[in-house]
Amino acid sequence: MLRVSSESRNESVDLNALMQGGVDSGIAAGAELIAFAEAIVRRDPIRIEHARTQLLAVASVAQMIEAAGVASNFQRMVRIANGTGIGLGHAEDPTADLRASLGIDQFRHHDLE
Amino acid sequence: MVASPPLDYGDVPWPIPERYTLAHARYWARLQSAGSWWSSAERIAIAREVRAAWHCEHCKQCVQALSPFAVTGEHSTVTTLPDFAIDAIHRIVTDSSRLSRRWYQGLLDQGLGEGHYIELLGTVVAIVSIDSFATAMGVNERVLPDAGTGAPDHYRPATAGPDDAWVPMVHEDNRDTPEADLWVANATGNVVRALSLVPEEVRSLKDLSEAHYLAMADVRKPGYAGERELSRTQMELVAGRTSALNACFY
Repeated sequence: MLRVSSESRNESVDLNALMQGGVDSGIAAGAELIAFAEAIVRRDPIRIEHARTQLLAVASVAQMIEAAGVASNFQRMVRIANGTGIGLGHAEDPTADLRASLGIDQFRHHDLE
Repeated sequence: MVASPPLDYGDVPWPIPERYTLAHARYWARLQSAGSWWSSAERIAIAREVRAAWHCEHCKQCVQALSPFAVTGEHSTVTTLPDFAIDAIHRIVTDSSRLSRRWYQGLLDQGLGEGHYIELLGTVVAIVSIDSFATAMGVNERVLPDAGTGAPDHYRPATAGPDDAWVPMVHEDNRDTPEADLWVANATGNVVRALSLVPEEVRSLKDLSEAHYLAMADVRKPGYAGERELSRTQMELVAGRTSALNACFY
């Protein structure tokens, strides 16, 4: 969805930032958004507070809250996907090259068992 | 419905948009009713077990292990749910990327019904999400509601069956079925259909997703962010990084 969204807005985005958090995504406040998402996933209160402060230095309160909302939303979505063994369906072919280049296919553990 | 303290975010030092509070309150109210397969008390027990899983020493050992299913020991539990349900909850919370079809089949072999599993999963992931939001805001997890009464209805959609998943799903062409409201026929992703064996879980998913992210009907609109403060690329950066850290291929 990041690739499609950036293309629709004519934005240049380095998708490697998804797999390697330290990569500059090219997105406004990208580094701070990634750090906040990482802290939320790690559930470390000190890290969360630090990342939130850093994000608030470059983004509004409303944006920070929305970032928390999106990260917590995907804490749910990933577990649905992982817990049901769903396939990619219609998205399988259009995303094959991207998944291979970013290394996302390495996460398909449940296909092996 | 029994009386419980209202859910709010008054202790957060920033103004939380009403859509979060209302969606979370609706989910709390839903927990106070029986589901299709678990009672209200059981669903709230599942929610309590989600919170216990984060502190479970056995789970920590499993996460560190090369083979999580080879680790012996018992989960640190706070409920009287069946052992196989506790194992399912804890693994979904702490190590979901290493779940497998074999593991899922093992749960069924131990007596967990397909509908029970989907409703358990839907409950687990909703609590993980709502709790993650509170943690991100620097406040404690919201107090769970008191259990309500009533019995599960054991509803199973007539069109649910084997599909592109370990679990049965309602067919993507859901026209003219009681599940027609769940998605636009033939125009949704498997992650939305994944919980459709228990339609109410999809309805909760849609409700919470609209508050946290976007309405499901808008997700597939390239670049669309509606009235959100973040651009769509910023939202997808957060979404994608969160998914990658959770080792999710989807």
